[in-house]
Formats: sequence, structure tokens, C-alpha cells
Amino acid sequence: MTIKELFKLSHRELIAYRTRSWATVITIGVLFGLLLAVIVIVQGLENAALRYAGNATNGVIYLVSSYKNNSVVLERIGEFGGEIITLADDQKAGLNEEILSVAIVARFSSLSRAYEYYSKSDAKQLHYSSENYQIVELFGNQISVYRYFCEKNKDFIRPITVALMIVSVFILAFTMAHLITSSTKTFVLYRSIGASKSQLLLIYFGYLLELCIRAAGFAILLALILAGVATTVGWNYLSDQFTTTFPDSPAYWPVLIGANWRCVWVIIGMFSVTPISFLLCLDQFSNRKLAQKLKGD
Amino acid sequence: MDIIELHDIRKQYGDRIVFQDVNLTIPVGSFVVVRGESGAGKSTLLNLISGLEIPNSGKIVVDGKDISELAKIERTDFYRHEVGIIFQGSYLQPQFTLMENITLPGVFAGMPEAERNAKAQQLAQMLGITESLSHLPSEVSGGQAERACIARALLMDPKIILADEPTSNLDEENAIIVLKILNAIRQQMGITIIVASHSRDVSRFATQILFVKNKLVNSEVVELALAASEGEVNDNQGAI
Repeated sequence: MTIKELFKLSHRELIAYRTRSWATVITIGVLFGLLLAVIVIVQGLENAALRYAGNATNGVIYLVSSYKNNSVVLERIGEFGGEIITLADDQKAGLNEEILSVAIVARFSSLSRAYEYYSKSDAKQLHYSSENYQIVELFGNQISVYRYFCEKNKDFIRPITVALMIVSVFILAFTMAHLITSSTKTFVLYRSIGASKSQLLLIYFGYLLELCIRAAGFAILLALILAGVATTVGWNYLSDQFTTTFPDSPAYWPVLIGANWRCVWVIIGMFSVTPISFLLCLDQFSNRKLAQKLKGD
Repeated sequence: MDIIELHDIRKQYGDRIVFQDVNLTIPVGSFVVVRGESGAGKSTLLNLISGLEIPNSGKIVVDGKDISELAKIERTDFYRHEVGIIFQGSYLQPQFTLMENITLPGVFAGMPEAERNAKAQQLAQMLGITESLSHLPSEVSGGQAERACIARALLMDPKIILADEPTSNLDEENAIIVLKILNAIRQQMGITIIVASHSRDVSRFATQILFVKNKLVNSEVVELALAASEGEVNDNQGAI
């Protein structure tokens, strides 16, 4: 059986059970679409906030660090891709000269790496005291904005993603079991005309995969529509808020559409639902179940 | 020579015993008719012979192989090359054309597309459905659909054809045509035909009749089967 023939037989299941298939696609698509929408909108908001917050430094992050042992500071700055600099006189204006005289100033071009440096998660590994290791951002507050959104992701988005994946696994597994039970004749027919068990598994796996691809497409479309609506609705309010919070920054367009790796993980999560739900239904393909279905039909 | 042997078969669903101590042999090239009341176990007997259902005890030997002992690959091979099954009610996939339905066994067996299409064309010509090959099952008559089922069952050159009520949805004329086709297949190809049916017409073609009643299968060999001649089928179809 070629791949083309396999997909033709899998697609037949979708056509034969159109209502149920579309109900599954829409249910899972809506669940994941809402989650994707939240991620896309929040990322868009983060991008807009960071643009305002990093306006003064063109997105570059300046961190001033002080610790009793300068070698630790130098080692860490190098490790996280920072570059040690000396501030120009005009940059020192308004800053505490006394602190600057004992501290080390470094610039980071990567916000995520700067945040890693700032969060001091390697304290135990490098044997330094994080409490006595002071780090302050200069000329902006990109780190605070970034940290705020990181925490929101950790506290809300990640648990919701896991919960949705579990719900989706059950929906797909239930759909699959129901499909096999209600398509006894097809199942028995394919087996009786020479389909091997692995071919039957592939046909139904292909069907589930097609459901997931369609659900993913639906979820992405729904997320983009919702993000577009959120942008339109919140445009004036967000512009006002940003302008008030960052008065020195020029007005940027607060477009609430942003992509990140979390979006990719959600899509991957959707596809991981397929094999998991399929595994939960494997017993439906046994010879014993086949005989039971034959009698029950 | 016997192609099918049933030894001490017992089959039950829960507490309900369908067959008890059934012993039976079917010679090669027979036209076997399975008769009995509704619910007596005619379909179950066909399912047991085809290996789709497993007996609770006893042994079923088909073409020298104990089918309950078949390994996975052997079982798939058994379905591909030993038996062709015709289900009740012309069960064709409604989304596929007759051609696609007929060639399905070839798809599963990995037969090259050109080869299976040629074989399907040849069978369609034999069964008189060439003109309908590109149609969906909903676009053809019950008789044509039933003949497509026969063609599908024949695609992989099986040794046995099992047909469950093949004429139940057909009018009398088409029912006779289908039975004549099955009989001609038996005569010309030496394939053993086993038909479960309520219809008395079917018995006209039988070389052996199995009566399913009271958990038993009684076999009666018909000495002079009224088998349809090739000419009769040709008169009706111009095909076989």
C-alpha cells in the first residue's frame, strides 16, 4: 500500500463520518485556538511593551553589577554574552557615581540572555551569594517587562496548555474508539479482504493525523482572528497606556500579534495528542474486539 | 478432497450456545448452501470458516491449515489468498467507485496498480459491469453492486467464496443472475462457494446443503445439483 493509497483510505473515514470529524476538528481547534490566541496576544503585548521600554537604548540592555568578587561578575558577563563597557559622561548623568565607581557595567544585545544573567539561577553552581550580587538595569526597564511576561507564562499559560492537551487526548481517544465501534463493517471488510493489522492501524492513524492537521489549521486561523480583534478593540486604550507609562518614547503601533516558541510547542502538543490517543485505542484493533464487534453489529 | 473441515466446534456468546460439537467437511469445488432460521447461526458459521470469529473450542481446517493457529502474517495471507467474502447487503465503500472498490484487496496486498486495474477490468467484463466501473455504488443497481462485490471477492483468486445472503436485497431476476454467476465461477474456476441464504432458489444450485438448527449443523449432500449452465448465465448477462 503506497502513502497515496493510505491517505486516500484515511481520508475516506473523514468523508464517511463528516459531522463527527468536523465536530472533533472544531472542538479541539477551538480549545487550542483559544490557547494560541492568548499566547499570540500576550506575545504581541510583550513585544509592544518591550519596544517602548527599550526605546531609549534601541533594545540594548545595560546592566550594572556589583559583587565582592569581581572575577565572578566578569566570568558571568562573559558567559551570558555580555560586553563590559565604560559609560560615557553623558550616560552617567543622573546616575549614582559612587555605585558606578565600584560596579561593573555591561551591555547585552540579547534580552533572554540578559535575563538569564539577571536571574542568577547559576548561584549554586558557581558558588556565589545571589543576595549579595546586585544587578540593576540602566536606562530602561526591559528586564522587568520581560520577567513579568515570563512569570505569566509559567503561572498560567503552561498549566493551561497541559490541561488542554489532556482534554484533547480524551476527546480524540473517545472519537477514535467511537469511530472504530461504529465503523465495524468497514473495519471487518478491510480485514476480510486482506488488510493487515498494521495497515488498519495506519489507516486510522492517518485519519487521526488528518483531524489534527485540520484542527491545527483551524486553531491558527482562530488565534489570528482573535488577536486581530483584540488589536482593533484595544488599540486606543493600549496606545494611551503606553504613552502614559513611557512618555519619552515615540508612539508605536500596539499590534497584539506575536509569535514565539510557545506557539510552536502548542502546535507540537496538538500533534502529540494523535499518537497518545491512538495508543489508548490500540485494544480496539485486537482480533478479540473484532469478533465482538462483528457479533454486536 | 475436503477443503474445509470442522472438528468438534463449540461456539457461544456469553451463556448462549450457538454451536455444540459441530463436525463437518466440505469438498473442493462444492456449492454449499447454509440454511436455517434467522438467528440460528448461519452468519456465525461463515464467520468461523472465514476466521473472522474464533470458536470457543474445536478445530477448523481450511485448505490444510488450522485457522485458529495462524500467525498474524499467515492470517492476513489467508484473507488475501484463501477466502473471498461477500457480505450481506452489497457492502461497498460508498465514497469509492466500483473500480476502486473492486481493486481494494489488491491495494492491501501491494499488487501494482496497473495489474489490479487490468484484473478488475477482466472480472468486470466477465460479470457484465464494465460500463459501471467509474460509477459510485449509489449510482448503480443492486444487481450491479452485488456483482461488484463478487468481483472484489475474486480479485485475489481465492479458493473459497463465502457469501452471506448475497441475494437478500435483490429482486428475483437479479437474484437468479447472481446465483448463476456464482455457480459459473465454481464450475469454471473450481472455487468452492458457500452461500448462507433464506432463499429456496439458492438450493437449486447446491451440491451440499447445511441445515443450521438447535446448535447443530446437519449436512446433506445433493446428488444431482441443478447447476446453471454457462449458457444460462450467458443468456442473462452475455458475460460469463
